[in-house]
Amino acid sequence: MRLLVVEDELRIVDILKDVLESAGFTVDAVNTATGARNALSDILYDAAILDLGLPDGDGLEVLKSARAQGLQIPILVLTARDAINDRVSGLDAGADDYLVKPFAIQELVSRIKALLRRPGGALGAVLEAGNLAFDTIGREVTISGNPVQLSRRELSILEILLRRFGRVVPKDVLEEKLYAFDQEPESNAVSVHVHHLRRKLKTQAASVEVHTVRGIGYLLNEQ
Amino acid sequence: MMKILQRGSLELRLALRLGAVFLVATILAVGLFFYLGDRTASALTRQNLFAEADELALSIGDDRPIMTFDQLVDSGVIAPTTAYVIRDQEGNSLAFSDAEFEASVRDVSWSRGRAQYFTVGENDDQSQAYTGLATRENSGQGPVTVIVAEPYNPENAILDKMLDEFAITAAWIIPLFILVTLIVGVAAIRGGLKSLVDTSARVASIRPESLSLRLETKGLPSEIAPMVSAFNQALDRVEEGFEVQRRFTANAAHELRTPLTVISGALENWGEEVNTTALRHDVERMNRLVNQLLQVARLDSGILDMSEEFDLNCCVRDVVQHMVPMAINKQRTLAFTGTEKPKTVQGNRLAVEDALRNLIENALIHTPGGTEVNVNVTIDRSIEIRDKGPGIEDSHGSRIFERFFRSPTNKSPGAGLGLAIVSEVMRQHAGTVDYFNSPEGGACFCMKFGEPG
Repeated sequence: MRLLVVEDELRIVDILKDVLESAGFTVDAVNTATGARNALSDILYDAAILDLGLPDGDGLEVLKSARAQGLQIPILVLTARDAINDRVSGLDAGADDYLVKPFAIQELVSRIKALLRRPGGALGAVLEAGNLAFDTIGREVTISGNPVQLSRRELSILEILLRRFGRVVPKDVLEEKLYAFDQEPESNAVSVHVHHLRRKLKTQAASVEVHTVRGIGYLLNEQ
Repeated sequence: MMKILQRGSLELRLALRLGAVFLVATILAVGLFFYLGDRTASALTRQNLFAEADELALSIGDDRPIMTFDQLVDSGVIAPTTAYVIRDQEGNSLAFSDAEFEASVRDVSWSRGRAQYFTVGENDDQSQAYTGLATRENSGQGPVTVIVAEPYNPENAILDKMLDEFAITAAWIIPLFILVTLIVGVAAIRGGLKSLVDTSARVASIRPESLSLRLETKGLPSEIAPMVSAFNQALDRVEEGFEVQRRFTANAAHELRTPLTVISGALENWGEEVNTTALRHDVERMNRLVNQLLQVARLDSGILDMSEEFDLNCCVRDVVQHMVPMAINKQRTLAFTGTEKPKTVQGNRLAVEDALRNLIENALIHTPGGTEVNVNVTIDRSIEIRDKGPGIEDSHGSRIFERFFRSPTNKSPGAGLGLAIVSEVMRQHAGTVDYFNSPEGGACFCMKFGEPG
């Protein structure tokens, strides 16, 4: 899978290339806005990582013109500016996700993987985390290769948590996905399902764990 | 409703001067009136006396004796009240109206060819007082001295009385008149100064975050307009200075964060053969310090945009949500409790998030592993952050909110900026930050926002 990294700081480029290549990606790097425009129109990448502060122009402009030309690939924006406006305008201009510098490299890798796992994304149908694999087409979950029996709602919950691996998923988002509009969820239905899911993951010695964030929701991460 | 004139205001100064001018003008006018009135009255009397003297002289023929008082009155030469003495050139009295008068005017004469006015008996209550004229006239018996007088003057007395009446009326009419004129004058001054007052109101609304405001010079008095445009130019320069400061903050962020990203990336990438845990902590600490310094710089530069309205619940939930992964990494958890109804706050959401993040970071540092930090939005528009750590030593008091304050017993990393940032953010939101130690253990920090509006 081929990624484009647009970043003018060469040391960061080196590190990103190292980490992404060892995660199995092929990485091209450019250092300027012009280089980014050329690369994006010449080659169909699977995803791009775009720094907003480039020496010859604003990364936001590159993003806007790429989207204007119909480029659909996931783009993750890096910014050193933390003003909320920058985040919002980045997402408005068509970014799929953003990270504020300084960021953890592993965080960036997992965000890129998450973007590629989105429906239609290049990573396809199998969501992986630790020793757990979720085939979203066959609706099968394996832990260290052993199949695990999960109910339909437990599967749905696990899929959402996997797609947002390492981040908090609000409880109401889970409720929305589990129940149609006319179905009133029982007040603690989600927590009951999560409880069962957590127990099954534990008995199968999964390396991932569901954390409860009281008052907000749930988070799946690696132990 | 007119505001009371303020001490030292231009309005008051103009009004005082205007009042003084009116007072002087009124005094002059009244004085002139009395003077002219008085003069006219005495001129009339004098004319009358002259006429009577002339008549008296004419009545003296060379061939007949001088008429008696009664004859003179009857023939209309003199009024019944008139007293007179006629003397020859040697000073002998030829005729007089009554002896008492003749005696009282013995010293009176005309002198050096000019008629002489006199008054007699003015200070004497016993005898009749007169005002009169001594003049030289030609008569049928040669030049004579004619002295005529009217008793102290009933006509003048009426006129005086009229003048007195008028003065009494004027005494309260004139102050009233001055007062009305002053009120009209002050209103006129106020109208004239309105553009200045409006300009001051605009100046008063200038804040570091609204520096682009400029004052309108159109419609201002030509004396004031140059001052206002000079002020506008000064604002240009201040805005430029602030812009430099803003750019510096943004640049500093970029310049400091990029190397930090490089270092932390390199450390993550180092692999298993070297233990990088301590170094990673150092980088994390430096990272926090850079963020805090930038927060301090942003707060100090006074460029916070306070116009945003946001729900405390959403803001706190977002922050908690973003900090959960970090908490889980440290084997701690976060919990959130909101209110049912939105708690809207006006201010700068980013700054509030920064402040809250600082408090949660502190709580996660001090709460023991495996415990939970509770972040609550309460119905009185506060955010509470409760940890289960050792609490805060009572002796510190509010010093913990001072910049670079570090408790001697606090061994956790930190520069002592976090709480100072929280305190400053809350100050700018017209709120407070306070803390107490819970009876069940642990510290509770409370960011309390003021009532809206």
